Amino acid sequence: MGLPAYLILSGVLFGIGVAGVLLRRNVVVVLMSVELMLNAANLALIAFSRFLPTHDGQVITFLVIAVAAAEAAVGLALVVQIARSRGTVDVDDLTLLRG
Amino acid sequence: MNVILFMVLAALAVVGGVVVILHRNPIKSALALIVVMVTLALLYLSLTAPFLAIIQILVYAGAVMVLFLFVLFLLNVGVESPFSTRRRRRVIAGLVGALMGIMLAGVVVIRAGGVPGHSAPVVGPEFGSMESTGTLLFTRYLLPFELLSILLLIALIGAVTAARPRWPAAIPFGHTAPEETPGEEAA
Repeated sequence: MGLPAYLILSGVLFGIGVAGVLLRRNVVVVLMSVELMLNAANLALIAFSRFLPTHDGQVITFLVIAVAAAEAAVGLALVVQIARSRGTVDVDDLTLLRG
Repeated sequence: MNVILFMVLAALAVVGGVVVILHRNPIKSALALIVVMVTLALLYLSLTAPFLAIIQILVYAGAVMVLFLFVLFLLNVGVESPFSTRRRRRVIAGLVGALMGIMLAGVVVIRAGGVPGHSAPVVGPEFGSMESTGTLLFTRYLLPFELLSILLLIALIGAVTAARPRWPAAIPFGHTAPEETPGEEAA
């Protein structure tokens, strides 16, 4: 398959992730949607890396995966703390910063 | 790569992604996300990135998703009751997501003009191997790699600190920790 097919798949997955962030109320599922968006970006990076061909895209993807793992760890720790202190993981109920 | 195989994998990834954002049960969402991760790992294999395919399975499907499932079990998150409150919000989310996906894919496909798009160039057997990835990681990308190790350390400490129940009061030397009073947590 050519490069456009991979890029279109990547764009579609990213769009699904954006829709999930806007749609869902559960913080954990919102974080999962963010992971989906990061994966879509990784797919585009690897597709470009293959078709150029240069190895750099794969290394950058490696770095992105590590950053995503760190983000998930910190994000989920915050979710646990929010659930403990507020008793909910619903983003609609977390309105402490609303002006 | 075989067109049919790509279509099957792409369809699986898209369906998995849709299930992630639409299923009411977060556990099922997480399982669907694992399907997406594994599918993407297979697509990485088709793009001559075997090392990253393994890393994808190990780190994402293995570590990150276990963390997600663990948190879901820990919090005992139930099924999201009436699906995302208002209808307007569903429409907006769908529209923005579709628009963003189309725009992103379109712009990237159009702007990728300099790349020979329709046939992948022939590469040697070392392309995508652990050795060549590691060589590049320790030469050109040495600084990001080292910064990444610091970032992981910060994330480790930050996650442990953030998930702690409460900082214990400083205990004077020679004294034992006071008993926890039940019910204080709720206050």
